[in-house]
Amino acid sequence: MEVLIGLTILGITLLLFWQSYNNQIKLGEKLANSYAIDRLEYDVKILKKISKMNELSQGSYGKLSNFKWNDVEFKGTSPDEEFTIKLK
Amino acid sequence: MKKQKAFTLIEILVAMLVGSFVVLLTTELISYQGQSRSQFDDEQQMLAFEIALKTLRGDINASMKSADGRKNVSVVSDDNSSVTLDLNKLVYSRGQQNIEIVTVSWVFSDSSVTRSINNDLIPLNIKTEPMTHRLEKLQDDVFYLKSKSADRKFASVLDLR
Repeated sequence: MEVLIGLTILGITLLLFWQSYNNQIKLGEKLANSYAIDRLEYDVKILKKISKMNELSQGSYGKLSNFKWNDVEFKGTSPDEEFTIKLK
Repeated sequence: MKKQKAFTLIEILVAMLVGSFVVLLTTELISYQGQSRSQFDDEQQMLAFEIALKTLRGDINASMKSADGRKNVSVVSDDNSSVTLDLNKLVYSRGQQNIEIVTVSWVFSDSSVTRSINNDLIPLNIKTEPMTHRLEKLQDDVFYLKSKSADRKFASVLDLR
């Protein structure tokens, strides 16, 4: 009985540790995505201003993808959701 | 005749089955833990690089301008693998209660990114996996800093106008 209780406590502890570890990874991912969007917004506004949007390095913004833009706005997808950057 | 105490064959088989299950589970756990650790390290490094690029943008935006209105930033790119930036900016010194000019130096090299102020001995130092860094000129005083490792790419526009 004592052994079973010990094993149960150990199992719960491991599970909690594992879960916190995974959450830490997810948090890091979200932060990195947020920084990547910030960087993309800064870059896109300058590239638009100097009319060099075609020079945008599309694979260089972390996990952001599916970039589409027109004169007014820039759209893309981060792993969690779509985002829009106003260009005007 | 005295009966001897011992495990039955069924008990031994069940114990072996449970034991092997525990060993299997532990092996899987250790393997998963190793993968998670590697993923965690990757994410941390990516985040550190993003923070460095954001700090660099802040430094460039706050840099002092020369008489011709251009930001006073010197950029040197060496053989497509490292990039060095030096700039001056005003900072408020809390200790001396005044505003002073400091020189901020950024070095993007193959294994690290460092930012030092007035050649301090303990700069901001981010260790990275092997990377190459190069500058692409987009137009006068606007560059694209492109950093690349085996499985990752970063790009950041440097607007020195």
